[in-house]
Amino acid sequence: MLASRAFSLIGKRAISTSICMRGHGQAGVVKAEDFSLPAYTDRRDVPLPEVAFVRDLSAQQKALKEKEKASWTALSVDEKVELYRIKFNESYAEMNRGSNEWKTVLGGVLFFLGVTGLFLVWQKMYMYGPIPHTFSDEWLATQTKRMLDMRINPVEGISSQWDFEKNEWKK
Amino acid sequence: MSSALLPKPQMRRLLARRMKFHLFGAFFVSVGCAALYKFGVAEPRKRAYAEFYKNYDPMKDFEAMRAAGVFESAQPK
Repeated sequence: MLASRAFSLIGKRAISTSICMRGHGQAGVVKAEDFSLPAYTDRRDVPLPEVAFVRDLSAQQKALKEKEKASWTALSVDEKVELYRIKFNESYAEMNRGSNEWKTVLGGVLFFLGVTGLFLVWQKMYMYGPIPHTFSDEWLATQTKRMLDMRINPVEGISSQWDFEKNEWKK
Repeated sequence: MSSALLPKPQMRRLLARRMKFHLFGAFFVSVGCAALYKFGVAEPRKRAYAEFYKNYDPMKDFEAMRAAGVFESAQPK
């Protein structure tokens, strides 16, 4: 690429396909896409990511990196923090911070439960037919009487709650 | 960064500490659940059955049921 650009100064005629090919051939390598390179992640279980957070350093940051090669005691606190921020995006404390998302989630869940409840009410009022006649009070009374007569669940269940001498429910 | 240094956090034996805590916890929670069930459910049930059968007269019970008319093969007298 550079070779062909240099030749364009002389004249377009000078640019030949072979030079362009050579320029391209010397580069040789396909530009690596960002997603195929090692990436930085803020993860609890990856304390030292493969690359630093800041990829392209400014001039000031480059100077700081040079200073880092010397004795670290010469670095000020702010410089140390700056070096940290070059290498890492969020500290563990920042990474693990809680949020208020749970309130939104809970609110949404309760809201939709409420909507469902309203829908169920509408269903009972306008959609369902009458319940079976076996749920009427007379039927249930006769049913319970028969269960007591048969001594259903006499130890811990319904018949244990009925006083057979006095013919009434136990207090 | 503050000028005062933070206290050095626990660096080693983190899993051991967590495991010890959870082992104790699991033991006491499970024993507690078992004890609760035993004394909340099992023992009262055993007592209820013992009480029921202490003075139970099956023939009297049978006659009462027959009188109520729930049997097909034993009509009320």
